[in-house]
Amino acid sequence: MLLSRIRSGRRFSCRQLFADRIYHVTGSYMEPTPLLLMLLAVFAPALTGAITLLAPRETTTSRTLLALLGPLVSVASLAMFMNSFGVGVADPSHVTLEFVPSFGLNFAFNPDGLGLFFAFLVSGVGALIVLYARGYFGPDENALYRFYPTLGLFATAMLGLVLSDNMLAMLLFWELTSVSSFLLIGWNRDDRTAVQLALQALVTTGLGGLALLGGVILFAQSTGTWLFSEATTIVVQGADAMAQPGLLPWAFVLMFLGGATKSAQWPFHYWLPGAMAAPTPVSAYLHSATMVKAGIYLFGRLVPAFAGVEFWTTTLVAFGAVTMLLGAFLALRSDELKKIFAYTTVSQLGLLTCMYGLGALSYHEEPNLIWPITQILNHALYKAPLFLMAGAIAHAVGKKYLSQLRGLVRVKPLLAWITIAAAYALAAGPFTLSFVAKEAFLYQIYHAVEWASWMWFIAGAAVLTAIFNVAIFVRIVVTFFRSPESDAPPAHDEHHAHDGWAIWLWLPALALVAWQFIGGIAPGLYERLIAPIETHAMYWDHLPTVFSAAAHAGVPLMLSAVATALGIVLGLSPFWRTPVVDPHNKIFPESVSFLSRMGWGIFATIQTGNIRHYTYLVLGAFLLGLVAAVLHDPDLLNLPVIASIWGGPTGFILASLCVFTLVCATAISLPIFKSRIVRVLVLGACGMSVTGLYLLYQAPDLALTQLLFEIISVILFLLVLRLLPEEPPRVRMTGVLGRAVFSAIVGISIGWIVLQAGSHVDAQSAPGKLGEFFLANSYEGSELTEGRGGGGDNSVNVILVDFRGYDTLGEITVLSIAAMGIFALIAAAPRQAQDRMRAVSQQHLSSSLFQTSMRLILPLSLIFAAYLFFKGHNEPGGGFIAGLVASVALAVYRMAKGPEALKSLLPIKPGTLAAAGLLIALITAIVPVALGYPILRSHTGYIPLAGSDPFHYSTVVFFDFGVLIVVVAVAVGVINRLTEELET
Amino acid sequence: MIEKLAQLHPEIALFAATCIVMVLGLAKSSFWRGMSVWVTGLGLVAALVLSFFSPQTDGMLPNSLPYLKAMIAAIGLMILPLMGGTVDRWYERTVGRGASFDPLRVTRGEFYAFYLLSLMGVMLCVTADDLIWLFLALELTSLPTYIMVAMSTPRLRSQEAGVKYFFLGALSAATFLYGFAMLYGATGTTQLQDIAIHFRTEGMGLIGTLGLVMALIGVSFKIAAAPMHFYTPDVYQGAASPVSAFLAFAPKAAGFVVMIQLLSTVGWGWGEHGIALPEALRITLWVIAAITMTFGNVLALLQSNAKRMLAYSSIAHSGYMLVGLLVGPGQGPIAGNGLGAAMFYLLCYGVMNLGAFAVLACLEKRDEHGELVEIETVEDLRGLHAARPGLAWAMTLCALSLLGMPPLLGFWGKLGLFTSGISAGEIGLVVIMGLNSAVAAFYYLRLVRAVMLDTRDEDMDRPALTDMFGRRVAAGLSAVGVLVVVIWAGQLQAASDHATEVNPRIRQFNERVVEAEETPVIESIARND
Repeated sequence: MLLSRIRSGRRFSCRQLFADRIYHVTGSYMEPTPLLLMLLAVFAPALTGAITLLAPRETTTSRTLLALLGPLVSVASLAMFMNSFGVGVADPSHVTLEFVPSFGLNFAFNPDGLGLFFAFLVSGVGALIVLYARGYFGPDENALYRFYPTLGLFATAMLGLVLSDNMLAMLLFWELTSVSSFLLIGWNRDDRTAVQLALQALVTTGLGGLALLGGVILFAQSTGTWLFSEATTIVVQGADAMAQPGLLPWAFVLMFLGGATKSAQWPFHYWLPGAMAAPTPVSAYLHSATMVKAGIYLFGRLVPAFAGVEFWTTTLVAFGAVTMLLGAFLALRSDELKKIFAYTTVSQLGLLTCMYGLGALSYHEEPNLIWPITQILNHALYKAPLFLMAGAIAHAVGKKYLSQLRGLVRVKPLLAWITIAAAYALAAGPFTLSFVAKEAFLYQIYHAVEWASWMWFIAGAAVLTAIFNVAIFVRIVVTFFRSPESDAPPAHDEHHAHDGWAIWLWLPALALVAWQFIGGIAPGLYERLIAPIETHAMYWDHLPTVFSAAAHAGVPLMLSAVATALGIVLGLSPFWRTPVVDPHNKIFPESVSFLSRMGWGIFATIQTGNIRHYTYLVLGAFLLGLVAAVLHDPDLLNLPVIASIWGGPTGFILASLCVFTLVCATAISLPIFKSRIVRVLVLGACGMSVTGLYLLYQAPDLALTQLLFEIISVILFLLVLRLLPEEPPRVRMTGVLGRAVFSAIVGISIGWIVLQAGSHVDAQSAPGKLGEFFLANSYEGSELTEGRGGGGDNSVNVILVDFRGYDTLGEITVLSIAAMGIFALIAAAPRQAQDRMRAVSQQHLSSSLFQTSMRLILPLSLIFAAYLFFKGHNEPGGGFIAGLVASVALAVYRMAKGPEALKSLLPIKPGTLAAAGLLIALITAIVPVALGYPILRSHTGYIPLAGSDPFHYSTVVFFDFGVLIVVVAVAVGVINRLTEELET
Repeated sequence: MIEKLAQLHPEIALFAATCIVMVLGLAKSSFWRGMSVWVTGLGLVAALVLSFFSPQTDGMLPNSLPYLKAMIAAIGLMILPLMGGTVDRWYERTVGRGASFDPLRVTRGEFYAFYLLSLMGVMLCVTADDLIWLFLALELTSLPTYIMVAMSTPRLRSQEAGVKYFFLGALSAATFLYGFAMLYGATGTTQLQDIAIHFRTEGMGLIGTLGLVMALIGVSFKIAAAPMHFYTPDVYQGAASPVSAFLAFAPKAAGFVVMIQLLSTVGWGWGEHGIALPEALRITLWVIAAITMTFGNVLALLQSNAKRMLAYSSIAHSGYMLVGLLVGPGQGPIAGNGLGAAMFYLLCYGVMNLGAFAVLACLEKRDEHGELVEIETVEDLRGLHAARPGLAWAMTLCALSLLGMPPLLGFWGKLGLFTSGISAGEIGLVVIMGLNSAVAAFYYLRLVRAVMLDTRDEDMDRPALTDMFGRRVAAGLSAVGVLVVVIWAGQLQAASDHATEVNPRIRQFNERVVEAEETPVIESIARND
């Protein structure tokens, strides 16, 4: 992506390129080191992960070392921020790489305490997981080949997520973590359930990601910036500094949904135990130590900004407490080790959500947050080891259920003891960091009680949770120490060879859990490491270890003691031992099936595949629109002005009514008749009635054309109908009445609205102008037509041959081409149809009266056509109409005399004739150009005649003649093709 | 005249190519027949290059020509390799084996000519500044596609699809023509600019509103939006995959361009804050958008046929883009131009949708009659990863991008739509859109799961890879595009925003009306050419 930004022709240095991209808060350029380091820290794991793909497939050692390099480089680069640049949003380390500025998307990083802590967690645990995976998968090169790149991708996504200051960039990484989690949960591709669970996790977190996107956009909208750091400052400054303060609560709601789905808060927690289908390294890394904490990270990032939103605390604390309690209870009622740890993870995530919920309150004018980073870290330090050990135990003795692990201390003492140590931290026993964290949390609740007394319920929930955790620890210990069911040592699950890497099955867990005790026993060392990145360590200068807690004994310590005692009792008691299934597991499958049931419902009703139903729906929507319009303006129901014919003279009214009745009657009767011939005739009658309409409105040319056209189409129809097979018996249709009514309603509504629209046009009177223009200029011409008229009185004809002569030229060309198409199509008809045509074309009407009269009618018709042609320029007529008249005459002649008659009468091929007509028209159009005039310019003049008016002539007559020839040629050609014997 | 012609240079290039292709398709030598696809490509390249030099116009969207036409030509070029071999494949084989050549039995020339004509129609929609022109351009876009559907496979199903498509298309044409007629009735002009000025001086009026609503409903056929979307799955399934991919782009592009042109006549200067459409139009579009995306997504969820699934998803995507149209050129500190977002999304959709169809077109299996047909069902795609990792990845990338997964192209498209929707205060619609995107995740991920995670049962026969290299090229182009175009997402979005700026003359007009409501001023501007 960087390369694309390099402008061509400019030499560049990589260093300069980076320096250009660095945005410094003060606006000055600076050395690129922090940005480079940051990019290195974020992208190193993905990079080395990708490089492992290049290593030969059978190498495992170098593959592992290479994959290990990524997280280690990240740790080293991040350490530089601790040393050289300092922690926090201070200017020097605020680094930005422009990516898509127009979207507001830049890779802006913010290595403050929260971000750096998470980054260390991700890269540090990541390095351990790389090693553990080598022990877990053994030298299985196929598994490692797939595993390391995916893991690297995830690590980069997670690092990017926690270090980004730009909200969109964070979102981008956020979704990437969902995808890599999806790939890892569905690791075992032959396991359909695992794939289903992977999908469930991806859809749930993806949905949350979408909510987060909405929240981020709203947040940016309300503050006017895409940067977390700036947005927080703006919000803290108050409503005046914000662009749209009203959006802030909505932004909170959506962002909470995003965080809650990712961090498995009730009721979305179901995906996390489901995600345990993934291999154990993944469960330990993604689903306990890092990815599921993304939501917690988000809450931590947003606490300062949303502290002012009133329901932040209520929402977070309520959801967190429910999750915390439910998770702990379900953990107690589970038997599978990974399930137990998954549910305790859910519980702990609830607790952390609660913690940030309480953090929005203030206590002595400080946020009510006590060692939050330590509280988060504490969980990773015992939960990841627990998962790692669950995997190691399953690996070593092949058992996954706690009830099967009796006597583990004797069989595998090392694994058992590390598990017990980590479980001791789970129970928050004294001398662990966990104890410290629990104390801090209880103090937070204790402070919050001053704010609202219902916080006592939260305290109760916390105590109950602690009781369950202690009980789980007790059960683990008791089970491990009981004598095994059988004396035979459990068989080792020999699915792969062992090698020197097997120690990495337990060493990472030990390395992590050791910190629990270092923090609990020797807080000084721990504090020195954590202090620079701990965000709120202000209440105590030191960790509230067991020593200081004992020294300042108060309510929280008392609650701890009670919880421990009751927990031991519960752990030893026989109560609540049978496993239960979480009812929330049904949420996802049920919603999928609900959606699909709903969809099928719609599908069956609407998507029938029947085109008539689609038409109903479309027209129905159309009618709805009309109804809405009428409701909005009832005036639409009044008869529009111009629609009224009552104002005219009596004759006009009567004639209009007659024509109207004729048109409607013929149109309506059309579907009633059954025979094709009758239908064609009725259709012709309808068309000829329309002719009357044109006459009434004084359009003789149009009327003539319409009339001739109707005649010729009826003749052609009749010619074609003879070729069709026998009419099949009609199937009785059902529901005709309903359809007819519907059609009538649609038709009448559409017609009505057209009338209404037409009446509006009248007010504009625009079309009138056009008519007047042509009438005024058809003979004489005016200024608008450059002083030149068409030289004819029949404005319709003048429009055809002069004003719109171009169009006519185009039209006759199209007509000729269409005719060729018809010729070709009929020639290409299936053989069966050709045979039928041949049979039919042998017949002709043999009435001798008809034949004889044709001898007279044909010449007369042709003379009439010639008359119309020459009159055309000034009276109704013209080339087109004359052509139609001639065609009708020829068609009738053909019907009477048979196929050969027309051929002998007109020896030229229709195609040639059409070409000749086109040529004539074209030459007429071009000759003026040769003479220096515009194309299609006509010449008019008078030839004086003795004893009579001078003869008026116009060169457009040639053009019109071309039109005539084309029309005749097309008609004759079509008739011939339809009737004549076809060449084989 | 000459200035107008300069706007039409890309169209002229396409038309010239069309004429050559029609003749070439009938050539006796199979080499020259084969050249028809190359000439088609050449014509598209010429149109693409010429598009960049398109001048400003005085229409509703004065800057729109370069971006929109270049987009149309570019996507057309991307679809072209997919089109190769859709028709005449078997016939050419028999000719290759020595059968005599019958010009009446080849359809290749027409097929590519129709392809070019349809694209030309889309471009003409962009250039159009008149209702009649718009109508003709829209029909020029659609008419060739009806025939392309029917001829795309020799199966009866294609012909049924073609006929169905044609009849419903005619219904839609009637509807929007009816709307156009009413617009003319309300304003007395067919010039979009004059209509715009009329609306701004004299208000919309009921007939004007009704006309616009009808026109929008009619045009919704082209973009496959409610209530005219029913044909989509039947037609997409009936047509060959390449033609379906084309149907999902060209008519859609034309429809959206026409909708924007029509809507900009009224402008987005109404409502309480002066940034919305008139209420009636707003509600119409709102309802259309909401129904379209929900309907599309929910029904896509049910499909086991991948082509039908993609067809429903195409409906859903139209719903998303309608959000941008509803928002209009919008104002706000962060959010941008809804029209620009929609047009950018169209580009994204064109790129990513192509890949999904291309992967389907690349794979073949034997049907019950033993003939090789393109695969259609999700079931056929299962375990593709093991057999054809390249195609599996192409499908994965395209499906994820269609889903809107960052950092793929689809995400950037959706981001613009989301931000513009929120900036215009259409929170309700954006929420519906968000929920819909979530629903969409279910079925797109089913595609991903089928190709990447599922394994193929032993007894199922493996779909064979088609021997048409162009189709694989198209799939690759699309997959690479989904990844690489992201780099220029910013620039493209900016170009799209620029392209959809409404004519300042009309915009200024709007402001004057809001400020003064004095007719004389307005008339003077109206006449100031």
